[in-house]
Amino acid sequence: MRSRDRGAVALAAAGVLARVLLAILGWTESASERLELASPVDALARIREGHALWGMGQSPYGGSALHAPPLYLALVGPLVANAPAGLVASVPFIVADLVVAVAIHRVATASTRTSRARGSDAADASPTSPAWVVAMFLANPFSIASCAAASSAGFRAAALAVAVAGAVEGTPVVAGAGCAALAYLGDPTCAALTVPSLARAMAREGGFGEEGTGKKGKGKGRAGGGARSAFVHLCAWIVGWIVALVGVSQAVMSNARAAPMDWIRATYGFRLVAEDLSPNLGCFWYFFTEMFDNFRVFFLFAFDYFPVALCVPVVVRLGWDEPLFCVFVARLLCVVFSPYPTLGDASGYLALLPLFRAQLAGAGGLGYLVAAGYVASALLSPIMWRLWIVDRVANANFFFATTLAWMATQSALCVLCVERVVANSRLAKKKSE
Amino acid sequence: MLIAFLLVVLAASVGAARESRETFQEEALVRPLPDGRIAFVAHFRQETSLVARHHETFPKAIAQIARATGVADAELSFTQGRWMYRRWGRPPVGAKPIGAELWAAFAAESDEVADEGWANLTAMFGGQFCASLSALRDEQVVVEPALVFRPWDGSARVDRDGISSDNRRRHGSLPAEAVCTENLTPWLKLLPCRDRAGIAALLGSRSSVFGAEYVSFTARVRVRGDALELTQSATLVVDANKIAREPEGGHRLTSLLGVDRGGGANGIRACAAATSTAVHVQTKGGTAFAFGGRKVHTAVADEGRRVDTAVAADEASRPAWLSWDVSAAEDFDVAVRPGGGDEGTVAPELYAERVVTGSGYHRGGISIELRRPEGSKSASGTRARLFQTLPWYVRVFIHTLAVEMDGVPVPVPTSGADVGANGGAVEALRWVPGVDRRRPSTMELQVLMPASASVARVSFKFEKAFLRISEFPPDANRGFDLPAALLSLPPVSPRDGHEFGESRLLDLVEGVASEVGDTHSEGVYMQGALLTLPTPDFSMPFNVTTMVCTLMSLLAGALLTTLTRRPGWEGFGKLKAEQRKRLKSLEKEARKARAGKSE
Repeated sequence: MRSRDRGAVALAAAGVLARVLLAILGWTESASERLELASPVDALARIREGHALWGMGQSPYGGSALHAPPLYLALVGPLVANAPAGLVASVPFIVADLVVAVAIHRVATASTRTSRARGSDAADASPTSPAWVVAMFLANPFSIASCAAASSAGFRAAALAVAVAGAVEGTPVVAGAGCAALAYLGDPTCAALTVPSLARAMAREGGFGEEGTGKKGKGKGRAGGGARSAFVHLCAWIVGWIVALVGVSQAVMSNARAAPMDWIRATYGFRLVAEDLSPNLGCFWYFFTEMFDNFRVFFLFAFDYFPVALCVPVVVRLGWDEPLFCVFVARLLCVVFSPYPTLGDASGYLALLPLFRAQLAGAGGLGYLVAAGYVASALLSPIMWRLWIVDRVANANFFFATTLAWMATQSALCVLCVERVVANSRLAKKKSE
Repeated sequence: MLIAFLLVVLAASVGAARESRETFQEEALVRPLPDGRIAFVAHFRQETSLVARHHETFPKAIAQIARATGVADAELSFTQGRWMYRRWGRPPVGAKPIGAELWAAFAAESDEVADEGWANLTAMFGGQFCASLSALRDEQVVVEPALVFRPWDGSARVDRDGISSDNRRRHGSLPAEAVCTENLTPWLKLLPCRDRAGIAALLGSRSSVFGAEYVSFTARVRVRGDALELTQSATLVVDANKIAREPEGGHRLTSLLGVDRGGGANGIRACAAATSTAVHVQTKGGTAFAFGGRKVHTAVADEGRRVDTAVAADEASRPAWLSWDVSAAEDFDVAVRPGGGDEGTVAPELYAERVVTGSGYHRGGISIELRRPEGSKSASGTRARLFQTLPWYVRVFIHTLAVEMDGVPVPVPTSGADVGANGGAVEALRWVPGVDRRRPSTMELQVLMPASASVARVSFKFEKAFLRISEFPPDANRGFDLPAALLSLPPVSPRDGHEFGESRLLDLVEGVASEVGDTHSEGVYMQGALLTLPTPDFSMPFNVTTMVCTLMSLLAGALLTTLTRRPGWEGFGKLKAEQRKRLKSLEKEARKARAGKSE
């Protein structure tokens, strides 16, 4: 076991070293100009613009340059203010990635423990070792590139990982903090979609709500009670954290003459209406560039609520048995149907994927195909972008094709994972009967 | 009896008209330019009482517009071509940006009132001048200037709170507006004699007016107390080399402007409604001949000399104004010999050039260069105000603003450095960031260019927005016209010996304050620019909708199938069908058996 982990530790160390090296070599500037790595929400130029406006005594949200929440601006703005952002500017992003690593390590450790405690048999005998889970994230080229580009996706990934870790360890304070941070960092829909699954995980894996009863409840009614109380606690903590975050944000913004609605509209309303049609890997920009004005509102509604519509059946079907997997699916769907996704967001949900190694068994060659899809679309997009925008020899459809491939790949991953998890959980149930 | 009554009424109305004291002054100015071209300026000024219910010659439409919109000051200009500062020097009455430009000041209590006045003004002016000015109502193009389009004496003082209640300004420009004769005709109709008599008759040939290299006509409506003033001026630059010369060696004004129909009596005949009609010619080295003018006098130079029909001013070392009062002329014309050197032209204090930098569809920059003309010196440095408004789809990053003096960067307010305190070159920055689909961005910058510096460069970067297909103009790949930037310079000091008040036009040309406390800062417009934005494929709406929605439904379908499928039930349908089949065949057999039995 130890010898197996040694390779993982080396890989993880190499990932961290790559982040530090990229920051030292000054790749932050050029990486942040890549649309695959930085969206209008977190591009360095936008953060700098907001910071400069703030410095001039104007509201950073006065124009439509800035779409990042105030605390993010207050934290990152001063660090990246000067044009060649050095190593110091990358520190929060490296720290965020390390937080993800620590959080998923704890999740992996906890789930190994629970699966052992349940005395699972051969299928679960070799769950992924926590070190490898961490290594898979830290050495993921997407997450390395995203960290080098100073993308806020790292923070969202950290928030989600912390929420999951808090749930698995049965601490609603931490889970609520992670969830609230995810909502605050611009994805309230995703945060809301993960709440039931997190509550279930908290009751099941973290044993929340069971200590009070004194005896280990095995029946469904008992566990349901635990989930219900976990849900209430989690919601209370999320609301508390969000109120605190909003309050602190407004306190920070009050000296910049920004009304609360200014930054709320710029940060959250902006995503709902997809005002900025800058190309990215998502499916929004070209669709709403081409869409007729009469149908814009209808399709905005459809796109914004599509992840919800897909996520609810998944939670209904799998939420009881595989709550953490439901968190993963919710995040994945929210990233697919996000107006400004980046590769960093993809690496954020991919960080959770190794946790379900046992449940995903049997994917076979399809898994290879999906992986190839990720690599192909990540490689094609800079090429198509260059052909269209820089060399002007192609047109928008070339890049649109890449985004279609990206969307298809992620959809395939989603369907494939759900299919395997459903099959394996049925198998496990049959065995236990 | 009846005739007597009519006479009384007539006398009364004449008396009333006299009471209203309407005035109409028309003036023309001719200036030979160094490269053989000739600049011609026609200037008309009408004044009436704002409260008058009846106007004799003043255009009723303008009076109604002024009353209805509550405008205090408004100037509309239509321009075609570009004034070449380097070749032609400073323009006589200020050059205007290409296309249509409108700015206005309102005596309004609140911004809402001013906005309403602006909306009315653009609609009414648009109707009056047959221009698409109603596009200026759109909040996407209107800005509120705070530093420029205001009186400024060149001091370092920046009145940031200058937006007082009676001074709400709006500015909008349409750089792509195609200026045509349909704009000029209503403009001429505002004059009492239209283009039939007086100075305006010189603008009678539309092909000459719009064939000129530079043509700009402006209308300014101004309310001062009870007086309502309408000032119209037209500037033309015509290429004299294309026109036949007079035997004396000059060009007749009428043939320059294409209104020489041959035969006699085709010169200027004063408009009967004009209180004064004057023609000024600026010469130095060149010669001017006048034909048929009754009275000739020189306005500025050489008071003692009065020459009757021909003046040779070549011995005068500096450009001289030769003026003719032609209010009683029947057939006046003047011949001008085009200059060959740099006579008559004065370089502006600074040349201003703007270029769009960068390649590719995504990012770019704008660089504005202010260059002191060679050989010119300024003892205390030059102060200038820069006004740059850009549409929202040009996303300017103000943190990239950089100002250089002779290549040396100077601190700018965006870097957080405290400029101004240490006498920095950037004395003030007013930045209104653009809002997507709602507001253009406005940058106003006051720069002090030290006497030692010869080139100042202001540059910033921007990102181009991606527009919806419905937001592109019909010819999307032509690009988008960016409004011209304006450099506002302190008013020039009048030449020695200029007599104020003798002629409105010459006061304007000499940059003399027309009223106390109203100093006209000199505006230098930079050329417009064309920006290409990344275009989507305009034929794709249905394809994109179909493709994306197919993917979405595939995802939803596959996901829901996966979730609802039960392996145990997989063969259920088949099994049932087989059973049903067997049952049917059994039934058949049974029936057969029964039938056999009954037989």
